[in-house]
Amino acid sequence: MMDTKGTVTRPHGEGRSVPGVKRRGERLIGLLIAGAVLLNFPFLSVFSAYKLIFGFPVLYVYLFSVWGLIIGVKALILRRRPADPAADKTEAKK
Amino acid sequence: MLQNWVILVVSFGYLSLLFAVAYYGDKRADAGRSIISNPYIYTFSIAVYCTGWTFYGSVGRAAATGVGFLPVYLGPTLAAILWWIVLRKIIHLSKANNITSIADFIASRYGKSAVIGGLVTVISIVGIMPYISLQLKAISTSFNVLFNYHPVNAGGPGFIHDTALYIAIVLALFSILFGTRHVDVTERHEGMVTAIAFESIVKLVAFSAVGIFVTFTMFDGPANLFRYAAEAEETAHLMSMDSLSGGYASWLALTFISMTAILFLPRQFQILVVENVNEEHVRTASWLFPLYLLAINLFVLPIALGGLMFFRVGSVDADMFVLTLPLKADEEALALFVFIGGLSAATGMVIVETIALSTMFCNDLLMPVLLRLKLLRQDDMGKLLLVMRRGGILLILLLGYLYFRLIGESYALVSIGLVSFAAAAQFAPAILLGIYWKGASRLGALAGLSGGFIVWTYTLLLPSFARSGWITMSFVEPGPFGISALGPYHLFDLTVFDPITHSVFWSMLVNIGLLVGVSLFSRQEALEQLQAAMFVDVYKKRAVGAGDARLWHGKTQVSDLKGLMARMIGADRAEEAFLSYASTHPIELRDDTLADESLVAFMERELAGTVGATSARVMVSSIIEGEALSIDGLMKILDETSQVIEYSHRLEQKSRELEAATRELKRTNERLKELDRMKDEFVSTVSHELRTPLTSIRAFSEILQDDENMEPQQRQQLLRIVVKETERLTRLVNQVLDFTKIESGAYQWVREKLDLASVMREALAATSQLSQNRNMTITQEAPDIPVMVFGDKDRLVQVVINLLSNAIKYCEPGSGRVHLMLSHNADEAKLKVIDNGPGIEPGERELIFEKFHQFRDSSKDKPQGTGLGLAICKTIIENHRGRIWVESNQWKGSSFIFTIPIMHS
Repeated sequence: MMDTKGTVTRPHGEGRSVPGVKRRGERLIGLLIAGAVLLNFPFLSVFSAYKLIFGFPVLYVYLFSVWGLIIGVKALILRRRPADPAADKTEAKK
Repeated sequence: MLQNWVILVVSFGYLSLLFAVAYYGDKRADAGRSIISNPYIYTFSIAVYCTGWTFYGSVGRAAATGVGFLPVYLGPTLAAILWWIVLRKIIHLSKANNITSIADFIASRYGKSAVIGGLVTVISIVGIMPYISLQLKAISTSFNVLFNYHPVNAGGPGFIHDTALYIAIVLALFSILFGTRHVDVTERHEGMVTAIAFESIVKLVAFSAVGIFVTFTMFDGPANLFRYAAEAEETAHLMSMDSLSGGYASWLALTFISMTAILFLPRQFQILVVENVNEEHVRTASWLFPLYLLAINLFVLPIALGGLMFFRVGSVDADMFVLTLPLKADEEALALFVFIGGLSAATGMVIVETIALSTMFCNDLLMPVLLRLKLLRQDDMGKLLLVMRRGGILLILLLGYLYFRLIGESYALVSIGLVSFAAAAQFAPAILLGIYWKGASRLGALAGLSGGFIVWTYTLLLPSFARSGWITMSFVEPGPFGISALGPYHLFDLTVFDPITHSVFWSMLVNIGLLVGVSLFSRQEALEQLQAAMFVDVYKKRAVGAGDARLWHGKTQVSDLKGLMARMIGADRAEEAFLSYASTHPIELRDDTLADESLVAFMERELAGTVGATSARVMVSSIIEGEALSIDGLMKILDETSQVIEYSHRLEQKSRELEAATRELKRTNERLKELDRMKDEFVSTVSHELRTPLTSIRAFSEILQDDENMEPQQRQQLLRIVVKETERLTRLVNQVLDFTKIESGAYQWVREKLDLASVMREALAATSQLSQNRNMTITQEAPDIPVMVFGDKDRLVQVVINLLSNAIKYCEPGSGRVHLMLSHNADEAKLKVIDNGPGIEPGERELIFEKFHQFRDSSKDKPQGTGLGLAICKTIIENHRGRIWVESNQWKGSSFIFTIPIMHS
């Protein structure tokens, strides 16, 4: 259903890999699913223990690590690439 | 000692600073050097999400439920993953349609429906009311904590008595100053955004400061703090999921409503969409904003644990730990700083929220009603708009204050805020389905929104009134009229969920169910269909907005339009809008000319930026004579869309055809090259063949010319040779002509039904002279019935003659024998020419059919044929879809055989 907005499929790109244009949308959705799974039952119950690791509660460490990981991967997926349509175009609009 | 006046001076000083920052932002914007046009300011302004709830409430929540404060921040982190896809589309749509608020957005999507806009506004105002009261409560409680903590400050009850009311009034004035200073209300609030971004930095630094102080100064580092906490009975359980009320279902529900809240709370929509300067900024904000959330939450649990261990359980409100901990440690400067941070968090939220809500209140609720009642015929609408907006801000804050007075004391901060989140979640289905599913209809959205809102009111809002004693408590427990199945916290006796999860479950079920169900079973109006197509296919349109021009069918004069614009947005800006239109369109704008459709559509969009899409539509249609919405125009647009799709299909097909044609051309080119090579070869061979007889003719002619005394008998002989060679030459030239004609395809075949036996007889007759000369026996054999084929008679005769004369030529005169045999089966006719000549070597049998391949008799050195006869035969037979080949026979000669398909009658 989701036609991954803004990810304009170019006809001439068929068959070749278009770096970061069409795949970016798919990667983001993949990350969302992974994040939603990791941050819910039953993963949480695995780490729900009265234990300390390196002096921190294990659940606390787990949640913040996954959180940070998601942010990192997100930044990686969204980093600007040479193949991107130039930002100046949108800049020029207003 | 923290004196009251110090607190007040610092507070007002801070608010003034904020105002200066906003002023600076506005000045920069006016100078054309926008300060907010960078992704970092954008990100920090989004952090208006973190309010008094985050600053004070999270710690309280953590003190009660451990990590239970986190879903509210993990949800936005997850939602931000899809910002690049979803948010960018919403921003794109909003910019194209001059959208001013979330109500405007939803109303525009569903056919610019005033009813939907009004409903969304009502849901927003009622739904956000608890959220605003939360901020009032946070500020007033923190005030009271600062004032009352030391006995010295216990006096002065007169002022403190109703802190919240004063705060509400101050905040209202502040918001009015911030958001509605200008007459030109369409402008983005650059100053406000700057101030909000600044506040976000202040609250992050303040919260981190108190976090670091508690963790490192009071407890000697996080390791110690957690070790103590793990040992203490009252804090140890906070480190696992066990303390989370409602369990994992609640965790999931909170994550879900936070995911929707980050986009669809009116103030988030305002900041993320309306105030967005550049879609590219979403790229950075998608990861930087979650990082901000992570940073501001890092110290929540340590502070909560520290507070629980430091104070006797229940002696101090956990919501205020961030203030009471530094106060307890006599760090008054820090406490004051923290208080300013909390003030930042709460004021930021109130400012943006009230501005967003008052815009909606004015554009989507008040204006359409006033327009309907025809109460708006004033000359300067700009001023009236400002008054309405300012009134709206006051009204909204007062509502928040009332709610606070009613229930404020009985709830913790986060519980109040979650009620608002559940309300904002009601917008998610209408928006998300709306921008991806054209079928979502106005009636569906109306049913979904109102259904969800009613369930929310019943399951969350009314019980909160009951708790405050406004409604009898028996309404909640066991339920209205004592029926437990109607109990707002356990509808249909669904008791497994906590109140929030319970409400989210039922309201979402009703909301999505009605939206989808009613949409599937209702018919969309013309304008709805158009808007739906525009919203869903926004990236496919060539130019957004260009489509709705033809919707205006009636007539109006330029002067009327100008008058309307001047009333609404002021004469100067109206003039500007007309000039900008005239500069891009080839049109002369005199007052008495009729305004064309695209001019009207352009002005409607301009107007929408001030009064919202629905009001703009009503206003413009009020000055248009005749039918405002032309069905013909709409059909044309829809038609055009399908035409574009059709066109692209055709293009695809064309390109496939072109590919095929290219392949064909390539093949043809190869063939042409081959033919060219063959032609060269042919020309050189033909020249060679022509030269041989010519040479001998010339040689003999020269002898005849030079030797005048030659005997007549010898002269005769030489002349005979010359004549024979000339005949050979003629034959050769004829055959070359025939061959090239057939080979090049220029030959016109005359096909008819014919009997192959007659062909055979004709050929025999033609060669009878030759055979008699050489004294040879020729026999024939043919079936009784005619052997009918479809072909060119003359050419077929030529083939048989060629084969016969070859046979005659190569046989010994006298003893030579040739036999013709015609036969046929169901499919093909077969003609054999059998001779008793020298026969052909197996290796030669293929080659003799090629051009200029000459059969050389080993005994005679001179070639006897032209080398074209058999090649011509082969071409003719293949043209008749037949085959020709040679094999040896019982007489030790050779048999030339060809077949042609039989013609069935």
